[in-house]
Parts: sequence; structure tokens; C-alpha cells
Amino acid sequence: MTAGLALCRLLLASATLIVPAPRRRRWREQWDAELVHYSRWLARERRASLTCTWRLFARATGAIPHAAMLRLQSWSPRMIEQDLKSAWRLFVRKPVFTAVSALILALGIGANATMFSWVESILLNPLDGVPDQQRLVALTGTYGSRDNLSFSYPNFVDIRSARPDGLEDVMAFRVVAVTVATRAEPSRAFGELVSGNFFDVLHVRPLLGRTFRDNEATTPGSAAVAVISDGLWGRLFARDPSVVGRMLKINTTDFTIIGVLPPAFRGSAAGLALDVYVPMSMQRTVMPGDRLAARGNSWLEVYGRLAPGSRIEQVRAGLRVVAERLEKTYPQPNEGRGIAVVPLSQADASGMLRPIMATLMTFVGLLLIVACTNVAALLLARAAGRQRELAVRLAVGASRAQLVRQLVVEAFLLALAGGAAGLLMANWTSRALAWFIPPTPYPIAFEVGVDQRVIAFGVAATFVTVVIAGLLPALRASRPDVSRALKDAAAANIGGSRGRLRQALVIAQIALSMLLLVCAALFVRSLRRAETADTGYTARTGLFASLDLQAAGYDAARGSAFIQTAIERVSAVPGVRSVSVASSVPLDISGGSDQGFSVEGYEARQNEELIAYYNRVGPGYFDTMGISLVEGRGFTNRDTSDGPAVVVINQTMASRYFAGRSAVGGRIRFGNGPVTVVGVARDGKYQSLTEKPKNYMYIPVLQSYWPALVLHVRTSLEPAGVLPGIAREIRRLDSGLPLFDVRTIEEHRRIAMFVPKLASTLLGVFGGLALLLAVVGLYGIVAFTVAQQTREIGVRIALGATRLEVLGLVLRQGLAVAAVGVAIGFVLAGIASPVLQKQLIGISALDPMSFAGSAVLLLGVACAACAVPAFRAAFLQPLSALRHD
Amino acid sequence: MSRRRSLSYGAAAILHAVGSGHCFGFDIIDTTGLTSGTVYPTLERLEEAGLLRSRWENADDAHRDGRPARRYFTLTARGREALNAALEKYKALRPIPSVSRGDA
Repeated sequence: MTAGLALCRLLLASATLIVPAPRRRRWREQWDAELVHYSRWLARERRASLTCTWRLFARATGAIPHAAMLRLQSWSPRMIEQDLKSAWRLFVRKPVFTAVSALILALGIGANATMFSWVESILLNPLDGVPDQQRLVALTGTYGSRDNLSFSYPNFVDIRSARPDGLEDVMAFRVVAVTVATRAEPSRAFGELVSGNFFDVLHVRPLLGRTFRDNEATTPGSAAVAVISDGLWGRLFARDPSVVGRMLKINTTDFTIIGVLPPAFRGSAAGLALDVYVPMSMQRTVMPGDRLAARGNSWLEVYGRLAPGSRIEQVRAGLRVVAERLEKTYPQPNEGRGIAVVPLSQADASGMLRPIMATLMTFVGLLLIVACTNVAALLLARAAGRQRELAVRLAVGASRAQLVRQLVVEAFLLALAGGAAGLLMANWTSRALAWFIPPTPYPIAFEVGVDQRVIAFGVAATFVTVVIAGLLPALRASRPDVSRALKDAAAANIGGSRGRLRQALVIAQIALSMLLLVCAALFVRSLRRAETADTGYTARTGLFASLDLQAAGYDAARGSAFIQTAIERVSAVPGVRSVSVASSVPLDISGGSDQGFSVEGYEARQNEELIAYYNRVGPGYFDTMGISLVEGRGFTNRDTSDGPAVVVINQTMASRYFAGRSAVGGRIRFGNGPVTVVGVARDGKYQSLTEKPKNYMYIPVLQSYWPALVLHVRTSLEPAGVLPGIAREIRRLDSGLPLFDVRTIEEHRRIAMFVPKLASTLLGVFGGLALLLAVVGLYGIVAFTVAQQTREIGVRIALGATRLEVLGLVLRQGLAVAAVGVAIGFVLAGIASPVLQKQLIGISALDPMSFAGSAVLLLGVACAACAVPAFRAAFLQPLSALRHD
Repeated sequence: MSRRRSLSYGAAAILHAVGSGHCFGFDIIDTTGLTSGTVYPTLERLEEAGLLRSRWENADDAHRDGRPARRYFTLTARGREALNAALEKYKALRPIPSVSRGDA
């Protein structure tokens, strides 16, 4: 928070320069008071510090229009008109300068607007078509150190009826995969099982028909009614206006469609576009088991809407009371459980993308600073060329304020052109997010684009640009030494404080580019590591395909028999090496299931929580995935509910709880009773490539039945060639059981690459842009210095300096600047390393290769940039150089 | 802003907030939901047009709370008139709970 306040003070200090001098002190005091007040208020809210900093800064940006407005009040329209005219004339006279500066600013502002449009759609407004979503909060269960637990239905009902303080209402939902059919072929769809007030809490009204009534969601099996998305309405019903009242078969049951949702609404899961909504009472048709009465079975996500005027801290207090009451009334399973509440932007998919978005936003901000300093240096150079003009104007009585105004108006026009071009660019580039989204079985959809808020952001970025790129040079340039400038324009520019300022600007550019390059290199290398990372399984050729036995009407006994027969039949398909099933695939985006357990012969320390993630797998699973067993055996056809209960654990679990003894033969308790460990599997990565080693259990699906399965097939031939044979076998077993979401193992691996790939590509682009800008800046200053020193160089050559000596002189000057920049960049990258480390896979944030490589690249390019003017200097004709003005 | 011209919605909302006792910038932002980039310039304009008056908080009071003094805004008589006219025009402006009354 203090960092946020410091950042705001910096902004205020810059904006103060815009305020007319007589009002400055009071203006500053007013803003200081307001920011201190707001930062304290935010601190009381106890939000994540990033959110606080962001909100504080967003508030503080209001200082710029405020200051600009006060300044404008002190100007007459005629003065501005005149400034605009003269600025325009100048631009027309120097079209290349104008175009280059506007282009640089367009790149900076465009990149920022693009990133902001992503941040907005992912973090700030994660749900499309939901009004006032800043007032929505996500409730999660807490237990010990964990704060991301779901809720059981009975607990949700009690929380809702307790009417927690500060909340208007709470609703619950669960994303489900279903089969939908009208009369045609059944197809796969994703939807939500929702409480009756789901749409009321979201404030979403239907386009056609109605949404659910509360009583439709309460009595199990009572209401086979569904609400569908605009998309599904188009796909299955060709936008038939009389769709309300028609039938839709969902899994095995006929549902009556009662409403169609507006096109903008895509459901309550950020980043997913969902199509079907069914009331909670119909749980049994879309999910296995009977869950509505089980208080110990947590599977629902709960969102609430803040009551008007209430704040999240109030809700937190209210929920504490509710949690205590639940714990007292139903100690089993609520003992030790609490309820946490976070803004929607910190939940789910938004939460996953949050760190990388924060990193990218920071870096794109740095890129804008590089662009601004670049243009500032250009403006300074140009102002240097206009010394005589400015000095004449001062000499004939213009005030310094008038000169500053004119120069700022010029910078403003440039920034305006850059901002407009940048927003145009963002309109196109913001859609590039779609390129990074890997093929997944899920209907991933981020609605990004340039909207009002992005435009507002672009305008704010433009103002910041004017302040950085325009004001500083304007203040500098408007203070020429009149008598010297009038006497000798050229002499006034060599060395002196203005030369140093330009040099400092170039050093800053190089330092920031160095930082961006190092980060880009780190993330690119991290992506390489991720691509070759040890995931714990070695299967590379093969495919995954989803099967939904529940949708096809199987019960546990028939389902288990089907699994065994299917594995046997598919194994016989030519090109298939090995086949199995599992309830989930490692490194999927859908997270994982976990549960508590105890180990016989292991005394848990005080407050130690024994929690393991688990997967239900079929016979032959370890062979199929290529997961080696370090001890014991895997599962076979004999591990059914008739045999003794068994489990395979991973190495981490074995070493933690079976230290000094063999895990095989040991007993673990969870769920219904003790199970015997029959094998220890090699450790792997289960949810993300960056995760720490975690407890993992494999449970035989034939003992703990689960109907939503993924068929795992390892092939010896190209998977595409084997697929038709596999599909034929499954169809032969049951023609009403389609295979969904078929993807190859290779395609699946790309899901885990999504975030590293996004990061490395974008940072690569930003790093490249920064490098380009820094090099242009360096070239500019070296070329300018050479031009200024033409006469001096001519004298040296005339006095006998060799061309090599001249070449060396100029190169040395340029490279010294570059080297200082690189050194500062090193330090900056070192400071940033702790933050970066969390997002890197298998590589240190101080990786010497990345640092050295970036430095070599930057210095190499810097050499090339200096070489051009250096050669020009070395081959100067002394006579013409001496005649140079 | 000339007196005869009717108020913009934003200006009306700000007058409304000040009229209900929300007397400094961030409080007004929170009540109206407008951005800081709208509220501050509009406050200046409204003061210049004579609809608002501003004063600085007593420095000692602020010091006691350990924070810098704030700039407080109040309605002038003309501001009150303009607000009533605007409330008539924008019927949709939702009532703001007044901070001076406890019964809201």
C-alpha cells in the first residue's frame, strides 16, 4: 500500500507542473488529503495489496484531468488556437519526425490498451453480460491452511437462509458437462446446475420466457425445466421464436425450455461460454450420486451479491457468525470450517491468470515509459535545433510559460495522434488473446475488445505520455541561455545540462529495455523447460476421449462391466499399445479433487493436515500413461468391489508417511474405511508445472465407481489413424454412447503450456519493441553528437588523427552510454527476480544465460547503431567539416 | 458553465451528493460512482459557477486524526435551486442516504 501511495505521489508531483503556479500548493494539499483518506479506507477493507494499489492509482489519475482543467481555465481559447496552428505547421514541415514520434507513441499506447483490455475482461469484468459485477463476491470454505473449498448443498441452504449481514442474497452453481439432443444426433454441451435464485443474484433477465422459480430448485426431481443460452438457441433451434415450451433432452431426461438468455451472458464461470442451465432439483440427471441431502459432500460454488452500501469487511464478519452457527449445529462435517469471501476477480480462472496478467501489465507500462522517454529525447533534440527560435521569442518578450505551453501543445498533438493510432491498433491486437488459447474440451471464451473503459484507459495513457514526453523537454527547452543561443546555436548544445538530460533519457531506455529483454529471455527459457519438463508420465503418442456413462443411463454395476469390456475390446484395435480409463487427466485446467486421510502407524503433528489429491483409474492405467511404479504393482481387472480395497500412492506420500518402512502393505484410511497400499508410483505434476510435490493417490475405478470418464489410449501409430477403429469398437458396445472431446496427448500437453507460452510470446514482443526503441534512441543521440561535433572532428582529422581513432572515439562514447544502461538494467532485473521466480518453471530468475545473452544482444545491436554515425565521422572530409556551421 | 444552461447528469449527481452531506472528493466519488477524472474538474466548475462553495477543514481537527486537512464543499443557495431543478429533470437520480440523519 505504501508503494501505491508513493506511486500516486509521483503522479501528483508530475501533474502539479500542469497546475497554474498560484494554485499549486493548495491543489497538492487537497489531493494529498484525499489520497491519504482513500488509502486508509482501502487498508481497512483488507483487499489484496495489488488491488488496493491499482484502485488507489486509478483514483489518483483523476488528478491529471483536474490539473489540466485548471490550466485550461487560465488560458484563453485564442491562445490555444494559435499554439495549435503553429504546432500543426511544424509537424507539416517535419513529416518524418512527426510520423516516427507518433508511431513510437502508438506502439506504447497500443500495447498498453491491448493489455488493459485483457486485464479488464479477465480480472476486472470476468463475467460477460452480468451487470454490476464489482458487487459480486465469491464465497469459499476454509479449513486449516486451505481457503478454496466448495460447499455442500445443505450448507449452502443454511448459509442462504441465515441471510448473512451485508449480502443481498447468495446463490450456488456447479459447471456440468451434459449431452443435449432435440430430435437429431446428441451433442456435447456444457452447462450449469444452479440454485433457483441464480439469475436473480446475477441480475440477468432472459431474452425470451422466464428464469427459474425458487420452488423449482428445491424438491428433488420435481422440475425438468431448462434455460438455454442464445448460442444454443441458434445452434439447435435456428432462433425459433416459439422455442419456449419445446423439449430438450438433457442426458436421459426430457426438459421443457422455459427461457432463452441474452447473447452477452455466458454463465457464471469466468472464461467459459456455457449453454444449458438446469435447476438444482435435477441434480441426479446431470451428475452422479444423490448429493442434495449430503452435508459432507462439498461440490458447489457459491457467489453472493453485496447489499447496497455494504462492504466486503461487513460480509466477512457476517459470514463468521454463520460459520460458527453451522459448526455448532452440525459439527460433523463443519468442525473447524470457516467461510471466506473474495471479490470475483480473485476467484477461479481470473485467479489463475492474475499473476501473469499483473506481470504483463507492469511490463507493458515499462514499455510505455521507454516509448515516452524516446519521444522526449526526440523532442529535446528538436528543441535543441530550435534554440535560436525560442531564444528570439524570449528576447522579444514571450514569457517562459508561453513557450512551455506551446511545446506542451505540440507534444499533446503528437500524443493525440499516437493515442488514436494506438487504440486503433488495440482494437485489432486485443483479439490476439484467442491465438494463445489451447485446444481444450472446455468452451473457453474470453470476450475481449476495445470498450469504453479501454478507451478511457487509452486516454489516460495519452495524458501520462504528454506529461512524461512533453513537459520535461518543454521545461528544459524553454530555459535557453538567450545570449549564447543567439550568438551561436551550435555551441549552446554541446555538452551542457541538456546533453546530459538526453543522455540520461537514453540510459533509462536502455536500462528498461535490458530489464524487458532479460525477462523475455527468462520466460522463453522457462517455456523451453516447460516443454521438456518431467510431468511424471512418459506417454507421448496416443489420445484421450471423454465418455459419459451417466448421460447414457448406466448404473454402477453396468458401468463397471462396460469399463472392463471396453478396455479389452479397444486393446485389440490395430495400432493400440495400451488402454485404460481415469476420472481426470493430469495437468488439465479443471483442477482436481482432494480428500483428508490418515495413515496407520503415522502420528500426525499438531495442526498437520493430511490431504491428498486423487484420481480414479482403471486397470492398466500406469502402463498406458507410462508412469513407472517404484514399488509394488498397479491395478488389474481383479481390483473390483469384491476384492480387498487397494490404493496406489505417489513417492511424496510414501516418503512422508512411510519413512523408514515399506509403503506397500501399509494401510490408509479415508472415505469408507481402511485401504491397503499395493504400489508406489513415481511423482508427477498433477495440476500445474510450477506446483510443489504433493500427495497423490490412485484409486481403482472398479472399486470406487465414477461415470464421467476419460478413455486413455496409448498408440504405436499416429493417433488419428487409430481413432476410427476405437470409435467403431465403442459404438459396437453401445451405439448410444458417443466419444466426446477427443484430443491427442500432444494437444493436451499444450494446455499446461498456455500460461508460459502467453508470457514468453508477449514478453518477447515487448522486449523486441523495447530493444528497437532503445536502439533508435541510442542511434539518435550518437548521430546527433556527431553532427554537433563535426567541426571538432574535422579539426582532429586535419591535425592527423587516423580514421580508426575517430571511429573508436565515437563508438566509445556510444557504447559507454549503452554499458551504463545495461548495468542499471542488470540491477533492475535482479530486484525484480523474487517476483518473477514464482512464475518461472525449472529455471532461476537469476539465470546467467538469460542475463548474459540479453547483454550481448543489446550491446551488439548498440554497436551497430553507433557504427553508422561513427563511420560517417571517420570518413568526414576535413575541409568540408571545417566549413560546417 | 453558464447559469442558464441546465446541469449535466454528472454535475447534477455531484450536487446531489454534496447536498446530501457528502462533502469531499473521494466521498462524492464513492456515492456517485463517477470517476475521479470527472468529479474533481466538475467540482471546480460548479464552484466557479457559484453553485458550490469550498472551505478548508480546520487544520487542528485534521491533525488530531493524523491526516492532512481536506477541502470541503457545501451547496450555495443558488446551488440548492439548481439541484432542485435538476432533480425534477433527472427523476432517475436515486436517493442518497443523508449522512446527517440517522433514520435513513
